[in-house]
Order: sequence, then structure tokens, then C-alpha cells
Amino acid sequence: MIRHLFRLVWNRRKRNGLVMVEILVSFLLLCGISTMGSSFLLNWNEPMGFDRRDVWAISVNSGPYHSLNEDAKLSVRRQFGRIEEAVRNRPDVVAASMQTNVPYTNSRWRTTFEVNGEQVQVGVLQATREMPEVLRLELVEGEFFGENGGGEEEPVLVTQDYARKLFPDESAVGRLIPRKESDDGDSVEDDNPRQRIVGVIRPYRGRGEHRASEPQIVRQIDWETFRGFPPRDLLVRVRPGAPAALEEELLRTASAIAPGWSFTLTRMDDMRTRLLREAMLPLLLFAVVALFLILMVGLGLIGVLWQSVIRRTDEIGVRRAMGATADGVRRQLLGELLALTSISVLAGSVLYLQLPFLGLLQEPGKVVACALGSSLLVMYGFVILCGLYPSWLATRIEPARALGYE
Amino acid sequence: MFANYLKVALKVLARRRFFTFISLFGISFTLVVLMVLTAIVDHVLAPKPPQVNIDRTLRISYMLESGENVEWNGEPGFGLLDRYCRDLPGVEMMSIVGGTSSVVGYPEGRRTDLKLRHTDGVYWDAYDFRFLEGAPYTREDDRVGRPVAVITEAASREYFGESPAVGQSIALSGRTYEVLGVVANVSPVYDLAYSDVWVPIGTIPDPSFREALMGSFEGVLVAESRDAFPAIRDDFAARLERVTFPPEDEFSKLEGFPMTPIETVAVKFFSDRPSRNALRKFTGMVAALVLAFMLLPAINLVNVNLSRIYERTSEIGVRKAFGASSRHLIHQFVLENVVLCLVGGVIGLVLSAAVLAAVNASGLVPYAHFTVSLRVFVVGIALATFFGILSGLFPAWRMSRVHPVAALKGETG
Repeated sequence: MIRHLFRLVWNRRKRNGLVMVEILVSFLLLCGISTMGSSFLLNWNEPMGFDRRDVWAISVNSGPYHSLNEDAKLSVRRQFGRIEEAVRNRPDVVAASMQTNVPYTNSRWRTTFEVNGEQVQVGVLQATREMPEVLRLELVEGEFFGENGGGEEEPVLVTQDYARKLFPDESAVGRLIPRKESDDGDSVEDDNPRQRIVGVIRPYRGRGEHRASEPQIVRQIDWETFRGFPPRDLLVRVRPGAPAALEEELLRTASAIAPGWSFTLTRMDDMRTRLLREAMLPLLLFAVVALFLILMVGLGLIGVLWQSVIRRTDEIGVRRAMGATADGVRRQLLGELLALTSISVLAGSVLYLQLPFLGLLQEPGKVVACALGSSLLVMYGFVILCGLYPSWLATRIEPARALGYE
Repeated sequence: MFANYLKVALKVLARRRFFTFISLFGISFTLVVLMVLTAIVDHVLAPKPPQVNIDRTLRISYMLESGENVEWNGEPGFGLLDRYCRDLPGVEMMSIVGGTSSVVGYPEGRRTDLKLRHTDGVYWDAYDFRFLEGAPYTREDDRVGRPVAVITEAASREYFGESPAVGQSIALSGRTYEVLGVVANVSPVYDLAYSDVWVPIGTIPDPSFREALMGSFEGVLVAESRDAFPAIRDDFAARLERVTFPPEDEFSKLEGFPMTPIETVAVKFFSDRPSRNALRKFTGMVAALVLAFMLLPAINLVNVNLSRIYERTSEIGVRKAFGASSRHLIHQFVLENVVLCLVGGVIGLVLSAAVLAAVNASGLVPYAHFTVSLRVFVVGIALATFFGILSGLFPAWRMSRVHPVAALKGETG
């Protein structure tokens, strides 16, 4: 039966060709939407690895830093330290720390490491001592930074996902991070101290609820010896329910120390809202356009099927005259449609699966499977929906009239 | 002949309403998307206030500084613009403009977020802002670093309510400026003309930026006319050769060129080496995307058209039997399809106007006023015609090949 259906479709391949192409393109579009949707939904419920509530971010604009000489750079960094200390000492402030890779921003420091032959993008989160308290990082094992780093080796924290990549079978605490082999950044030189992992924290999803976690290495900043580009954001954890007047007070405190600099305070809740809105808007636009396109294809499909039922009146008439039931005719038409769809969808799936294999789509297998599954389900459901009316029309054909049809 | 074809075309459209609806739905939707995009681009690049000179503007906005092992691409620094880019031949005026930064103020304890931009005094001549109150700051204000500001109507309302703003002082992120003027609100799509507050570059306290070759400033060159562009670019290239680098610097070479606003978009999009090919690459990419977007609607229309044609086989047979050539038939059916697309185009235009009105009302892009201008209309009609020919050719060709005898019997190939 199924082979017969495919033969019918094959015999009319010239006429069905364009319909198949159309279904194929729509299917790929569907795959696109559902990939984004699946990635969104699957990520949404994962833990964030930090606590954004009651955190305020003060961005510090100290003017150009790169073009300063070493002495001027040091004095800028000392200013950072003084501002941190002053803000920390205000009442209602629980903890304060400057850091890079601030949650809910798009700016981040990262570097590429080769781990067991695999290239891994690792975020380099540089922060001062109180950072774990500010973001309420959760420790999986080991401990946070001590009072001061110093010494021959640099103590660092790594996120769990990075620790697993580095040391798949054993605890990472106490181990040295292997020397970097492929160097694309300019901040890490070879005379740097070796980095020893003192603690492992939960995966950090600073890029927002809709993005997957990215491995991070957390380095502690010592303003005196710091090299490279310093962070520009001071994160402050305040007591729950701190008054809005505290915002102005904190900014005044900072301005009093560095009068020429400008400071901007944003609540992390607002940063989150803004980032998510910016991430959603293009997605939403794309989805609306794609849905309209698919709706259009659906309408076109109804038209084409309708026309083909009319053109095949005599064929259907013969089948009815030979004793086929109305249901049998409907099953045949829908079956042909499904056979046709299957060919397109198979080609589409093969094309879609090329993306992760070629590295063009960097989503975990779970997302790809989920996206492909839901696209298949929607595509078949949609095609059947489009076929319902034309196939019902076919059952209305009376054999006697059909055989006399010209 | 033509009138006859037209009559037939309209008759056919009225005959099978469902098919006509499907075709028009696809066409008008496709055109709405493309026309809305055109309207937005048109709005951004049109020479309307404040960017009245955009047609003859070149921007120095993206440079690549490189040395032995390092590369840095980004905006040029004040030093480069100030020392090497002044008095280029054919340039009527040159303004140095800083990027925007976020500032906060607390008028009456309410938190207010504003964008602040540092500019020189020429800026107010290069752009034509509508002043509701007061006047802009001058070149002299900038030279001495007088703490003065021009603010928008919206910022003025936030801070001073209905009372006049000029002469009052405004505190932003810990610094205080005297308000000199109030301008009408500017939409963020106007790029360098956009901000909430403008203050002189001279108010930046730390003078180290004045020497920097790279970093956070842009040069706006208003040429005497577009014809001067090549000469300006040549002279700029010659001047780049003469740039001296600080001795301790690891950089030794600067690349870049004054770009038209659209070139700026293209180069920044690829955020690559500032190359003259970026625009070609960018337009190629946009054209490919537009074609890819039109692909599905086109296939759909071809499908529907093919279906429609089958029901007209006897008509084709008669025409062929009476001596119509394939060329004639192809002309007729392509024309029919173009008529269909133009009807769809008109519907699309009306819908686009509605979509743009909705976007304007939603405040998605603050203070923007997108409209279906004459240019958008022309683009829309051109797209509809192109689309009609694209999707009409294949069915017409298929149809013209039908043998007249077979066609008269109602059979198709």
C-alpha cells in the first residue's frame, strides 16, 4: 500500500516537484523557528549560577585607559580600589566588587583553550575579593578566594562545566590549569604564574536566561599588579528593600573620590529586562514572518490540491465505480499527500542535520532533537489540515457523473 | 491588444476568487515585509532634519590601527581627527563627534536615564536641529570647556516640567551643566544626530584623549558636493601616511577612509578591515537575503498559477489554433501575472502604511516617524513587477508548450 502511494507520487513527480520544494523550504523554516524556540525553552529552566536580586551595577567611565602610561594606569586602578572600599562601607551595602563578564551584558572577556583536543571558549571573569558574595555564587566543592592571592601560583575558581572538561574523571580542586597552547588573546603571557583551582562553582549563565552557560574561569584582581584591561563595572549587593535614595548616595560617594569620572547605576533586574527584550524582539519578528510564510504555503497547498482533485475527477470516478468507498478515496489522497511530504521532510531533515555536523549550529543535541521532533510533528499536522477539505471534496465525486466528465 | 490582455486578466482574477485570494495574500504579505524594510532604510538615510546634509556627508568612523603583532579596529581618536583631518580640500565643514554614554540624574529624587554626547561647536552647523528654546553652544564654548548643555524637549520636561529650561542647571552623573538650548526630540535611528543631552568636548576633564589616535570619536565631513568625495578620500589617504606614532607605541600603521553613511553601516557590520569592497559585499548579501525571502512566495505563486492554467487549456488551444505564437502567449500570461502582482502591491502598500503607523504608535523606536514615501512607493511597485515577472515566466512557458490539439481536448503535458 505504502509502496503504491510512493509510486503514485513518483509518477506525477513533474507536477509534484514544486509542491515538494515548497514543503521542503517551509520545513526548513519551521526547523529554524523551533530551534530557537527549543533552545529558549530548554535553557529557561536551568539554574543561573548566580543571584541577580538586589544587585546594582555601577558602570565606571574613567576615560581612555589603554593610551595611558604605566604610572597613570596604576593610579586609575588605585582609584577603582578606593571607590570599591567607599561604596562597600555605606550602610545597606552588603558587598561590592568590580568585575568583567557582568551578567546580562553582551560584553565579555574570553579566550580559547584547547582541552583534550577540543577548542573550548572560556570566559575570563576577573573580579575582586567580594565577588562571590555579591553574585551569591554557589560552591560545588573547594573554597572561594582567601584574603589575598599572592604567592607563586594564582588561585582561581572554575565553573563546573569547565572543570568537567578539564578533569572529566576526578575532582578539579587543587589541580593546576594546563598551560594554554593556542593563544589568541594578548593578556595571558607565558611568564604568568600557573593557575591553581581552589574552588568549583555552578555553571554561570551570565548571558541571560535564554542562553546556555559558558565555561568560566574566575581570576582574582589585585589592583597593584593587574595587567590588561580592567573591568569597568562595580557590582553592589544591597540589603533587600534598600531605598532608591541609596542609588544617588552611592553615585555621590563614587563621584567624591573621582570627580572627573562619570558613573551610571543600573539595577540588575532592569538590565535583565532590557537584555531579554532585545533578545526576544528579533526572534519574535522572525517567527511572525515565518508563520505568515507557512500560512501562505498552506493556503497555496489547499489550492493546488483542490485543483488536482478536479483534474483527477475521472480517475477517482473509476475507483468509486469499481467499489472504492468514500473513505478509501480520502485515505488515498491523504496518503499521497503524506508520501509527498515525507520525501520533502526527509530531504529537509538531512539538510538540517548538516548544520550541527558542520559546526554552523552550536546547540546541544537535546535542542536539535527537540527542534527536529517538533518541526516534524507540526509539518505533518499542518499538511493533513491542508488536505482535509480537498480530500473531502474528492469523496463527493459521483462515479456516474465523473465517468461522463469531459 | 494590451487593453484586451488587461481585460482578460481582470476577468480571470474575478473567476476563481479563492485562487485570487491565495495569490494576493502571498504577494501582499511579501511586499509588506519588503516595503516596511524599505521605509525604515529610507527614513534613516533621507536628508531630513536634523541630518539635512546626509547626501554630501562623509564620516571618518572606523579605523584599523596595526603594528607588528597587534591590530585594533574601532573609532578614531580625537588626536587623529584634530591634527590630521582638518581642512581637507572640498570639505565645507568638519565636526568631531563623540559617542553617546549613559548618564543618570535625579530631578526631585526621580531617577532619569539619559544619553549624553560630546561634540564640538561645528556640530550644530553640520546638523540642522530644530531649536524650541535658546541656542546651541559655540566653538568658543567648546575651546574653553564651558559646562553648558543642549537638551531635548523630553529631557527638559523630565527636569523642568513646563517651565523654560534655558539658564537652569542640570546635574548628570555627578556633573552640572547650564542649559543653553532645547531641541525637538531626535529618534535613535539618526545615529550621530541622536542624543538626549549634548555637551562640549572641552568639558571632558582628563585631557589625555586629545592626543589619542584611536578611540571613541568620529569625524563628520560635510563636503561641498558629492563630486568632491574622491578628492577628499585621496587627500585623507595621503595624510594617513604622515601620521606619527608615539615612540613607545606598538602600533605603526593606520588604515581607513572617509565613508558615506551607508558604507559605515556595511563596514561596521563586517567589523573587519575598513575596505572599499564592504559596501559591495553588504549590498550583495542584502540582495541575496531579499531573494531568499522572495523564494518561498514565488514558488507558491508559481504553483497556484500552474494550477490555474490547467483550467484554461481550452482557451490556450483556441488561441493557438488561430495562430497565436508561443511568444504571444508568454507575453499575455506574464502580463496577467504582473497585473495580479500590482494589485497585490497596492494592497501591500496600504497594509505597509498600517504596519508603519502601528510601529510609530507603539513607541518601539522612540520619536521615529516612518511613512510610505514616494520612494517607498516606487520601490514597492518595482518589487511587485519584478516578482510578477519572476513568478509568471515559468508557468507561462509551460503553458505555451502545450500542443493545440491536446489543449483543445483539455489535456495538458
